[in-house]
Amino acid sequence: MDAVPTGESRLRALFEAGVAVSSELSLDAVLQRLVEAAAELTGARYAALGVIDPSGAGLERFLTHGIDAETREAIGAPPRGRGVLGALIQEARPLRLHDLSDDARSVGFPPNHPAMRTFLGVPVMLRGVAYGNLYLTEKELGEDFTEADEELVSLLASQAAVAIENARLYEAATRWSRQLQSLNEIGNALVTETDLEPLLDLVVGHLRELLDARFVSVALPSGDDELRFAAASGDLAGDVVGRTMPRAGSKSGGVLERRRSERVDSVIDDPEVNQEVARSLAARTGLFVPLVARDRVIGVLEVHDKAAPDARFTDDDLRTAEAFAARAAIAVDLSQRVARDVLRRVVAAQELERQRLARELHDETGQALTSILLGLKPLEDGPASAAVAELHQLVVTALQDVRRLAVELRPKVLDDFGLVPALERLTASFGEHTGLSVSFQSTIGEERLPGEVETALFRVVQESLTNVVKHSHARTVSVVLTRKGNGVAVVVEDDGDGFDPTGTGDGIGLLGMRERLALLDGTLDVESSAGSGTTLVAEVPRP
Amino acid sequence: MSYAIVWSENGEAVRAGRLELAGGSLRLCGSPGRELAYADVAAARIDRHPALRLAGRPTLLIESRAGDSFRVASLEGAGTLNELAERLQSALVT
Repeated sequence: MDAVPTGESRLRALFEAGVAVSSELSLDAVLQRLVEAAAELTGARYAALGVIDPSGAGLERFLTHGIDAETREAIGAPPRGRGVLGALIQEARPLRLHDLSDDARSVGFPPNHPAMRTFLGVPVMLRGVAYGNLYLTEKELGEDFTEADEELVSLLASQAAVAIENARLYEAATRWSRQLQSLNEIGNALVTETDLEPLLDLVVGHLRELLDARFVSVALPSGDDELRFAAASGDLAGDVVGRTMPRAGSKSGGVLERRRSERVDSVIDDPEVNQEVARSLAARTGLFVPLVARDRVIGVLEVHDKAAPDARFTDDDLRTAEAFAARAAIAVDLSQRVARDVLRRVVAAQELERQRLARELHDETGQALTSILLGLKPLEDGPASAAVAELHQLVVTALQDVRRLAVELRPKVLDDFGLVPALERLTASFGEHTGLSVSFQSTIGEERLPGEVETALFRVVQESLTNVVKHSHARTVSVVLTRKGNGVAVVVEDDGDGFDPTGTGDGIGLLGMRERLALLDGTLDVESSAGSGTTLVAEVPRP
Repeated sequence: MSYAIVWSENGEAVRAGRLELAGGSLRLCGSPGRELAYADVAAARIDRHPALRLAGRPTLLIESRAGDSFRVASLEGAGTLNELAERLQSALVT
């Protein structure tokens, strides 16, 4: 071992250590220099510096001097901060010992560890925050470490703390910068991109990169009971997008309901996690964040497995995911509003076109046929009376067809007299044509509702009656129009076969009815079961 | 594909139900229902004569090789009887 530096050479060694801290060297290189300097300045055979990870759960770095790679490998895992080393952190003050084994807090050495007696340890601290510890053993010639050694090592430990904090601040600043850049990019895309898919792809892709996660997805509600993966990034993304999972019995469903983010450190130990879905994603840890827009929960952001030895996410990760979930929520909400607006325009245009055609048939074609009938009248008693009678019958039939078509396209009574008379005629005519016993009752009097509400409820009843004929084998149907809460509701009830409302999909047009009512913030509820008829309730709030 | 219909077999009582065009046959679903293989259909045409209508609507007349006749009127609005006739013709050809 070289002689312990004294005087000027000690100052030079300290100066070099100080320069290293402010150099562009990596943190590991700086800390290694400090460990070397500490050993050199104090004449210690062994020196080590442990850096506690930000979560406090273990060491993120462990640098040594005096122990070769072979010995280090033979010793195994770095110290876990128990015994004397733990006391160093907890008590946050330097510790000098003549013989480590004499100290009551000592827990001994692991197998293959060199024998060590004299000890000097100092906490690596800055502004009251402990970053780790720097310790030395086996001062040359078996001497004890001195007070001067302690001062020197404390100074080097302070420099180590500054280097560690600088590195962490730099890392945090870089992370924030990347996050801001990503959020800015997503913000720009929200302004220029109207398709939901690329927007969500951008969100999950950026978030996965920022969090260094293995898998990120966005799941959106599909019907009342399921969630559908609308976007995903990661190794399994291709298999996942488009897949559905039940809301009930899933963490995403729970988060959707509770509207609160959750961090799961062990997926397999969380009783709420759908283990089948978790296995298919090979998920070990997770973040689950609700997508909330205008006070509505419209989806869930799911993140799995940090790509690091410790796959758990931090609270910072959760906050980052929440920031991205807010952007994703805006994208989903915007897309839904655009889709709704398009549907509203299509429905309005369709009704307008039907109204024009019905009016044209009724007023123009109907009038022309009536004129022909009047024109045939003087010929009825002439020489071609038989042919005229046949023509008369054909024209009457054509006139009936034209009027029926006009009513089927859009009944004039709906525009002129409102929903109640229109439903009275619809139900009466339906009963007459099908042989079903159809009753209609209204409790809203002669009140007119907004045009779009009247049209929507009329079409819902029309579609429901068609469904009754097609599917129910019912004998009687009742239609009731009534006030309900602050809105108006129409109830269509039959005594037919019934069905399982959860298993029909869109086979009987429920989705179309739901979408139409949703344009008015209305709802559709279906109560039915095999053999017990069906009750359908369409409800629309008053505007 | 299915349509809400009223139908009558051999001029008997009018029933309400649905018509399904399946892979090899057409089904008149109601109480009771009937199934007719496409191979057993002799003819199908739209009839608009006033006396041959159901519920005041033109009908699709389907005649079987066994001599039965079925009249079908659509309850699903303008144009659907023609659509139904075209689909049936296409099923009969294939």
